[in-house]
Amino acid sequence: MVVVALWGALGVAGACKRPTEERAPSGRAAEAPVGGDVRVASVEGLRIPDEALVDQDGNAVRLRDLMAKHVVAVNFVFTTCTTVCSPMTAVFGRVQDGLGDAMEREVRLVSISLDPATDTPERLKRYADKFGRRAGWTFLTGERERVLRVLRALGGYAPVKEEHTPVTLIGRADEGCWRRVHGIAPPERLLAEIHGAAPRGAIAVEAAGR
Amino acid sequence: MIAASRSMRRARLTMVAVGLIAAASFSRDRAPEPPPSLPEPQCEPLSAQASRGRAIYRKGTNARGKPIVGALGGADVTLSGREAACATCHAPAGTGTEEGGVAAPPITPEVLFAPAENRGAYTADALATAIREGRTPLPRQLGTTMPRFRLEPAEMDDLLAYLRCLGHDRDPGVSADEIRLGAALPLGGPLAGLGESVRAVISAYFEDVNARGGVFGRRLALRVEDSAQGPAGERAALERLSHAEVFALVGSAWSGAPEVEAWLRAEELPLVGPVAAGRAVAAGDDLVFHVHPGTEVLARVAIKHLADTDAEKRVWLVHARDAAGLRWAEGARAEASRRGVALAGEIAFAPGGFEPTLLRAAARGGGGAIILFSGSARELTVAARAMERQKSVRIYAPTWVMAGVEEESEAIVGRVLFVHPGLVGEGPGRALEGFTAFLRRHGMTARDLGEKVSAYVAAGLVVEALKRAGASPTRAGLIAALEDLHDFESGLVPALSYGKNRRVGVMGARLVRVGEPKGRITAASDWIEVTP
Repeated sequence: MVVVALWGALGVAGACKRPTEERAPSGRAAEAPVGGDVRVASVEGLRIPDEALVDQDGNAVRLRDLMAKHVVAVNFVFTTCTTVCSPMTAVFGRVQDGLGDAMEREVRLVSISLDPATDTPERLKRYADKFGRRAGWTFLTGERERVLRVLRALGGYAPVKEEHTPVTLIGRADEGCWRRVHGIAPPERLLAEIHGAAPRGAIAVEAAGR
Repeated sequence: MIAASRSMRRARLTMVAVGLIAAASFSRDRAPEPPPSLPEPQCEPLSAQASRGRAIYRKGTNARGKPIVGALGGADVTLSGREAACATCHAPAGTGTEEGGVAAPPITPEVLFAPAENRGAYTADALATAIREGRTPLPRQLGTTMPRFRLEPAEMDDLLAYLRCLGHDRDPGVSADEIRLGAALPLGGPLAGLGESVRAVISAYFEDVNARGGVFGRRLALRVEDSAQGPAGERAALERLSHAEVFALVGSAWSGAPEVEAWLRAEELPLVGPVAAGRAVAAGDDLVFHVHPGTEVLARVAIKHLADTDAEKRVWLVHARDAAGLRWAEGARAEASRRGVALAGEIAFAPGGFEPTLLRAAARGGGGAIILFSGSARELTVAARAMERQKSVRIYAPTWVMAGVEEESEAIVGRVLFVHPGLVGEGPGRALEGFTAFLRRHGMTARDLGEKVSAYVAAGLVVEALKRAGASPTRAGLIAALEDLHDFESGLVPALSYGKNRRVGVMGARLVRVGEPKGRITAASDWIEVTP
């Protein structure tokens, strides 16, 4: 059976539209137990640096190429993290499921390592596999200085990696419009933000039989 | 139990709502169960029930090895197994963390079973409710990163039994006055003598350490089980060692067979300095800390050397299709692509099936060639002879082939560069004298000298790591101590270094020649290090 869901309002005019709270798939939001402390803020003047990083398979990836022509959700994790990284990655896993075949076609998820010195591609791959990564979800590491430049530009940088806080950046590089979600947002919340960031406010999702 | 702040209004509503439920259950249940007492000696050793609870706490698996599952608030986001294990956030000894701005508070029994203002006092039932539903007795909702665990009643009982001992239990093999280490070694068949040699050296090393007072007052004991032949025997021996509760393995035989590795991983049993590990051992297995580099590392050193010295020659990769040969080829290909060295061709042959005619293509064409050769010593000699007229052809071979070269044939002298990850020169000569004195003192001969050196280095390595792991050693602490070890000198092998992504102590080699002068090994290059 094929279910096509159209999310968000169609045809909101103007650049950098701001999805409001009401546009989240409603009803459950008030009692949603994940992410009691979620806060969303628009980000002004964010530029994606054109850095060459390395993905979980050891392939060179240019960040701008990866982000072009897609709605992108970025989070920041490291494999030896104790508290928030596994929950955040598990949430991305659910977002991936929720996006069905729109993954890679329209949406990309990017998880950038906060600890490039430790997180080799092999390590990232093992970590990613545990959370069921599929095409369209990329884990990035690379030369320390390059990764740090990216983290600074995207607002994920933490001088001490253990002091990082959970942040997800969602938007479209083509449009230059980004929103930052602070806290461990439930997957429905991130999905709403992703759909809200889509051009013409719509992403067609052909739900997989899950 | 992760505390999170939330808006006052919301908190008050929740308190009122859950308070009613708590009040209702209180009136129904007149005599509240008294708070459990603090841990008494039953934590040492742990009861069978608490041991099962520890597996849930540490590894996130129940008694049958099945991963436990915890939901993050919304029922459809779950963590399982290691990611859901209590120890991941609350730390192996229950000391907690505040990483990432999330407070995973300490949950040692002293803290957990004492009443606290923000949550009240935990009875066993209240704790089960907190673990399953995230609701404390006060009542208050725990933070959202604290998974709501789906535990069977028996699993919950196991976990609660362990929580009363958290931070007061010792890892397997550690008692007040002893640390028991284990080794699976061949004790029968053709390799029995070798197994006995390794056992004798490690035992003697421990004897010396014990004579000086042991490690943090604990004496070191070695338990050996017969690894017999093949991976099945190896695994059975490891199972017996685990059953006998050894803290870690040292100098154990290690085939690197996938089923043995998987088992080691499930048991979380570290192995320090495998001896007789064979030539083809994976260096990626997290729990095995190798001393010597595998053949793939030697091939990488060869490529690095030739790229710096003979970049314009054609490079042929020639190897037996056995485990060592395949790893030699794998290392050579990887390093060649990393350094932009184009390989002219690859010639693989069945083990024992090398023919000189195979090298015809490599011999053709002027300007000389380089052959990266992995095969038996006899085959290397045949290959070197076949190239006798090609003066500019140079051959690289891994060090273990050198050991098999019986006579120093002229074809090999001056033509073959062996990639040697050991020490060369006078320093090691003196260290070796000290080592033979150690052997004599303990009534041992110099037979199986290579294995004896490896066993001695492995014993020294584990003792150093145990000292650094502190007075309350845990397996995780031992691994962390090894990962922090840099330039550990044994005198008998090059300095050993490990790291989070490094499980091979020696990650380099130098090129050596044999027979110039006769009977000697001489350095033909500086030390060449490769990255993990």
